[in-house]
Amino acid sequence: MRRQENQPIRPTAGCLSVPLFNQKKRNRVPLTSAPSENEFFSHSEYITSASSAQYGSNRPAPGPAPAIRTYTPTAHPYKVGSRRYCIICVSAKQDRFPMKPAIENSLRILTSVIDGMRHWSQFKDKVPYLFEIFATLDSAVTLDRLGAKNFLMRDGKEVVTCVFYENEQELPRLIRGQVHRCVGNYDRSRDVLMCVSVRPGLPSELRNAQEAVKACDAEMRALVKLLSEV
Amino acid sequence: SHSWDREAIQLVQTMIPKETVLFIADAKISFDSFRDGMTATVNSKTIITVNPDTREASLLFSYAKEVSESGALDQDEKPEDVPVDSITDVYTVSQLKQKAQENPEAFFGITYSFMSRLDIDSSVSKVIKTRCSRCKFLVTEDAQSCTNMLCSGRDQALLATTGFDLPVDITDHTGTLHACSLRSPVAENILGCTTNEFTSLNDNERTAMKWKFLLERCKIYVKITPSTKLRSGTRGVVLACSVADPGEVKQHMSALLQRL
Repeated sequence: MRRQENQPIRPTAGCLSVPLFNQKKRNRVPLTSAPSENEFFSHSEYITSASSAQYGSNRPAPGPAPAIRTYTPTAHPYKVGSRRYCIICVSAKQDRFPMKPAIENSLRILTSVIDGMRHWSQFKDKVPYLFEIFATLDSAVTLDRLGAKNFLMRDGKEVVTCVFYENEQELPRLIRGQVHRCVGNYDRSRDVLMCVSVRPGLPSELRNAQEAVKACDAEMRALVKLLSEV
Repeated sequence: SHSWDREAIQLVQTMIPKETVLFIADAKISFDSFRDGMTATVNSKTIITVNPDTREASLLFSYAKEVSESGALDQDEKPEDVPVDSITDVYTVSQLKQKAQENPEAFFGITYSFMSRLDIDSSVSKVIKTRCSRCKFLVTEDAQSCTNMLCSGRDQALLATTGFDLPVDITDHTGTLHACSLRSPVAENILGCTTNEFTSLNDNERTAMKWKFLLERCKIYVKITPSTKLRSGTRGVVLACSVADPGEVKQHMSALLQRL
């Protein structure tokens, strides 16, 4: 699509088209900030959509005139469904830095006591985590109607029901009254720990778990504080 | 006068590495004595076109995507050069990520974290990979020559190396480091077998091997590559891994608590 000499400069999504840079020494078609005017861009996809705020989620909308628009989002020429941008334009000062998420959203594993697990689980919809507990087997191991193994774990006064599906591994032999380690997803609505890993615990693990519990509690307190501020 | 450097830097910072094609016209080319070579600099006359709609750009985009997805770009490092015993700094996952963001250079550290993904019992082709020795593209084991059109050795017989090469996730109470590389020869040390021995294991044996580490707290030595080069943020390479000694874990946790 060649630029016509007598064509008026057409604003693109509120972006005024102005000549860019000093091109006196060059013998070529003057480039302007509205890319559709520019012979270099021949693709009709460069015509922007009406809504100029359709940027990537991290990018704030540009400020008002007289700042010339920085980006004109259009379909990516190489892949479907993504955005691309045209010639950069001069812009007034804008905050274009992408916003970093305030809260780490990746999976965590928290070492916890049963009481703490119940307490921290109330925030699980905001931030994902699994729990690691060290507790004593307080029941026989039974089979439920879905074929999963069920048993009770106790630490101090607190008891929790654990469920383990033998999908990949058999449940190892558990000894009543002995300390075991469970890692799983705590289901708050049913008050059940859905275990993915169960095994006897080492005495050294139990001795040293307390420090991990403290560190995890401290991290969770800080996280909850952050969540309440957002 | 307008600061074009800042504009250009801000622009580039918003771009996704390995997914963005730039056509740069009228960059200033000059000899840089510090870098001892020719360099291109953006100035007020430079025009940067992002993802231009040209055939060459489209081809370049496709090539870069292919190379990136094959993991070929990740193969240049030699983390084994650093003796593991010399690594002493301990980090949580979030501390690793934070340092990667603040620091332009790769660094080494220890983390007492859980392996939260270790798919060694999926199909073997996802665990053991063969790569062209010249361009690091993935190739099938029986290939005669490299399938990468731009490989310098394309007309010659294939020179390839086979080894463990899989992504693992590392998780603690502060977050997860996704897709860390676990490769040969480190993987042989951790898993305790060669690629041939591994291939001859049955599914149950591989699953049992997996659960030795999966969701266990391990002492993991990592090399972390700066996040500025990667859209995903931080990338790690596993240098060593063993199930952690509970006493060491306790010391690490105590140290964390003292810092609060």
